[in-house]
Amino acid sequence: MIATSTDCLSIEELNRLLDGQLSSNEFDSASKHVDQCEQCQSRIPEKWDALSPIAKADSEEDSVLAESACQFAVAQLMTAGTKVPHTSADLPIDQIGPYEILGQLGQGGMGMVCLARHNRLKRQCAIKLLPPHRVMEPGWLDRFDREMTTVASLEHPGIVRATDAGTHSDWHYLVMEYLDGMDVGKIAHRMGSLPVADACEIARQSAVALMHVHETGLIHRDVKPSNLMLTRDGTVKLLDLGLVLAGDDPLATDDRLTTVGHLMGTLPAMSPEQLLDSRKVQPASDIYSLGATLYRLVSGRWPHANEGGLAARVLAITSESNRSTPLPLSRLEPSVEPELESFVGQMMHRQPDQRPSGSIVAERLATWSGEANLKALLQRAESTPVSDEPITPSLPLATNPASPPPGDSKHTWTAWMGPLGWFAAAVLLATVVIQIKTDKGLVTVTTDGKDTKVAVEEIQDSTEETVSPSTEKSLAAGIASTGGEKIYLGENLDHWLGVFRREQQMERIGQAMQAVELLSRNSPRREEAAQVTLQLADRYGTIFVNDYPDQAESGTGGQTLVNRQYMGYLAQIYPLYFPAPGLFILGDSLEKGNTQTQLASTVLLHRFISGQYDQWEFPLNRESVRSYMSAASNSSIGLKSIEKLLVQIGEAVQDLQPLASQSMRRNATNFLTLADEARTARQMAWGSAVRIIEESGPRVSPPDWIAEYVQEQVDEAVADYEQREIDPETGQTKWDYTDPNSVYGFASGGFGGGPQMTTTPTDPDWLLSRELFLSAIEMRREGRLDLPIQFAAETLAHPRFNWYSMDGSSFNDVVQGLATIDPEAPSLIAFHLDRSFQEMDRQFQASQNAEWLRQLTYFEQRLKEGLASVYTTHINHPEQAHDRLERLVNSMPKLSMYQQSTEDPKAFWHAMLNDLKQRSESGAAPE
Amino acid sequence: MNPGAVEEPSTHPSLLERARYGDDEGWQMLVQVYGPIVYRWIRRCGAQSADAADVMQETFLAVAKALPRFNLDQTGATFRGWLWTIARNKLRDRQRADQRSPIVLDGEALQWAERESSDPPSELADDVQSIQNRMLQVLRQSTDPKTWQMFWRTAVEGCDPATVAADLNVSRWTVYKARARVLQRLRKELEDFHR
Repeated sequence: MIATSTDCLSIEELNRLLDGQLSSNEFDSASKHVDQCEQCQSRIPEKWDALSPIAKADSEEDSVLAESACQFAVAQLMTAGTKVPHTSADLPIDQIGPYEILGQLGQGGMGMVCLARHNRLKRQCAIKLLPPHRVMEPGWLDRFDREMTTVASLEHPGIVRATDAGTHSDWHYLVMEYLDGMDVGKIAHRMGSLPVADACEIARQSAVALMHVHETGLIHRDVKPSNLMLTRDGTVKLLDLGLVLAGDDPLATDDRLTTVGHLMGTLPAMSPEQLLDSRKVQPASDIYSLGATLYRLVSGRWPHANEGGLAARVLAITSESNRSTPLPLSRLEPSVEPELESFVGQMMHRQPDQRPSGSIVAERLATWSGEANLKALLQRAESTPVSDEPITPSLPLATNPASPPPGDSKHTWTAWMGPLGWFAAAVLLATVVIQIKTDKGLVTVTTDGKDTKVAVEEIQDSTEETVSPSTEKSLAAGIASTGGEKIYLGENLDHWLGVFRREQQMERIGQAMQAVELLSRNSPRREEAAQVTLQLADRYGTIFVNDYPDQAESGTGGQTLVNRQYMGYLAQIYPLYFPAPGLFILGDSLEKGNTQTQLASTVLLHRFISGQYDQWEFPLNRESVRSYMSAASNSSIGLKSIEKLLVQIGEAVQDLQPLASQSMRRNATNFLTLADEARTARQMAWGSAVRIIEESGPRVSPPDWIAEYVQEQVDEAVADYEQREIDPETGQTKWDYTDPNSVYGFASGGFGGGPQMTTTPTDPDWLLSRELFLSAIEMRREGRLDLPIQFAAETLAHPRFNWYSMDGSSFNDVVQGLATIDPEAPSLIAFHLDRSFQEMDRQFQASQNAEWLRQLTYFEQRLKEGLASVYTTHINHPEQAHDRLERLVNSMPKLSMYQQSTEDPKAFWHAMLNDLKQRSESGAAPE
Repeated sequence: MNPGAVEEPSTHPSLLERARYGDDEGWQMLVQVYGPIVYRWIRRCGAQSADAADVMQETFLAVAKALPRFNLDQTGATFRGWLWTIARNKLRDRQRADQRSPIVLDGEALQWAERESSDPPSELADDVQSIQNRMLQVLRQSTDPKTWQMFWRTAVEGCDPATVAADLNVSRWTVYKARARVLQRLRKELEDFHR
């Protein structure tokens, strides 16, 4: 141990002290000694270099960390504190006036809604409560009273009825009829989509009720499924009339907007005019919302649901362009008649004055609602077993309008995100701002192309309300239009294009990428802009992307970091050029670029094809990529460009081959050399090409290089396999436990720490990826490839073989495929799996460290898909196998991963153990 | 003795300890540092961002409740393993509650959700790296600027401690000590996460 402060430190102790390896107490006593000991100070080594791991502080970070939903959630959690928010179980009061409170029904627009019973009449009712502290706050009581009078004035079978109101020990309450049934939001949640007739009937009844609301001169403002109640007798009733008067709107006053999920769920039913400026809301806005609700009920999804994030949807709803037209209803639900489809489209017309009135809606929807049976619908929904727990947690959101966050409230956004500012994406890259005016402030939605943020800002200056009738502002940093020419930050497109040639500083280059992309929109120079953006990849290209380029530590870390920073900007901006012209310029770069350009282009392509972006400007996700590709392959021009792109990817794969062959590691988890990057890039490029082929459909035929690459990779892996290390005792492959991360130094045990106990074998060099392996088997069956059966069997049974189920190919199919090549395959696979079990058993017995059993879980998916029966039918000594496996499985609950879990890890294995037992009892020989 | 020396106690309780004892600042740091990791896991399982945010919140609410009971030393579990177990259960709960409109899992992500994996869908090294990055930010907030500068320049920027000592007009030992102090805290935090 560390000596007392009077003794000098040994050199080893001194090193541990300097490396921060001592415990707090040891540190204090040791450093106290050195403080006063000239001799120890003089023994500090001249050069200290054990710290490389920290310098890697910019390593590849996932772009999802920058997503606004994540930042929101973190911010909310921070404000929540460690105290768990009070649950619905706490009822604040149990008796109010003549009513006995029985339980909570929900959280309404203003206060709690409770189930109650009249003391004497014994009639159940719903009571909305306004707590005493709300009464003191400006505005709340007014609103409450207004809802009271509004509901009271709206006497209609389609509107929830008020029966009483009053105050009781400072609580204000409103008594409404108790509706026995389920709200349509819940029904839709349980059923997914509703039968067309039922959906139309719900919308029809709602339209009738809305007609009444509108005739009274009111607007509901928040029509959506969860505000429609389906009662047991099949009647639909409008709920939540607290918002019906001008001056209130859901975005500002609804304190149910408590979670990110909720915010995203509330916006899609809103009309464009309401989103842009909630003061422009009008009766036709309710019609829009009803149309969107109907669309949701019929199709199971909101219009624009595939537009990605929150801002994307808002943009899609409010955008004037054709691109934002929602998918036709009949595409999602084929039984929808064309007339209904176009009528729903009419209800959601962008121009309010083009939408039908409530009475027309009621009349027309009757055409399709004839066969509705809402009572039966309710019964079906009730018998659909879905837990009724809230979909969203009920954390308070800092936007509660009654209590604005502290500070000057100028930027609530900053108030939330302040502590996170260092990993929030930079303002520099914010490309689009949608501002939604509400009576409480400005809701601002920005996206930097990948990441969406929402901010609420108090409007302080009331004159603000009269300016800027157009509230959709493009470009946060401000594009101004002067004399028809667009400029960004005072400069035009030519200026910004020039920046790429002149500028060395990476932040400026990032800014120029941003500018060029913005200024070239809808201009003939779009292609040039994309080209120039990609140009510098010949100097900075790498497969590593620093997804927070604005936070890169400038001036340190040398070229590598600058390269990654460049890639960060590129990865944010370039995708805005997809699919055209971005995809095809990428193709040219893959074909003709230098190595670094090829690396960069491969990464961009891979991100695009795998849908790694939540962008709104272009096809966002894999689904969109798929529909883009398959649409393109249906035209001869499109087909040609896809085929050309595939050839170009092949060129890059070929060009990178010599370099990649110098890489030492196949399954490297870290990358030290350009050769390693090249190897990885080739794999990515091949994967992207395969996916393009899959998604383009049958008209695109794979170019030869696809198979040649598989051939090459398999040959290499087989060669590695043949040179693998053999355990002299068993004559089988030696298990290797070198920590694959040890090169990181850091991961394996901290700075300079000792090697960590590894309880899983390392990925051997010869282990192929699942995709390559599947392709190899295909090609072997066609006789185009040599695939040694030992190699194949050992791969499939290796604990580290990364198997997952996808594209409908089950593990059993793979085994069957191998068996047609060589009937010995199943026994070989069983043999190698058995080796794994034996090894685990041996290691576990020796060390008593249950973590060795974790490998069992790696096999579960494979076992489920057929490996279990391969093993139980083919293993040589079923009795031994049974006993060993039982021993392992019985110890599984000791695994750390199950410590906090309620599941029984052993359950999975029962069937397999039974089969083994049966076989050992029947004494049957292996098949 | 050393004119520029900055003294500060090195016995900092770790984030986990602080959060466990209901320290609000500790909790906030904990959420900042570990929240995004959990979010990323859930996203890697193929969940949409809004779902992932909600699942992450649910996970941390559960963490807040269970933290006082969670004892690293006794269970032998790592904080990472524990977090993942909770997150996975929350994700599953949500999928169950949401059967009719399941969280859409796509592509490669599928493997994680389906194989009930005991390990989070991420490389330990990536998680550690990511946590280290944010942890450094958190530590920076609670470290004296001068100490921080000495640490940052030597440990991260790789400057020669003698140069830094000269620049700041302190002894070489002061620089070493400052660096060691921050490293010691960082190591301690990271050990809690994965040891």
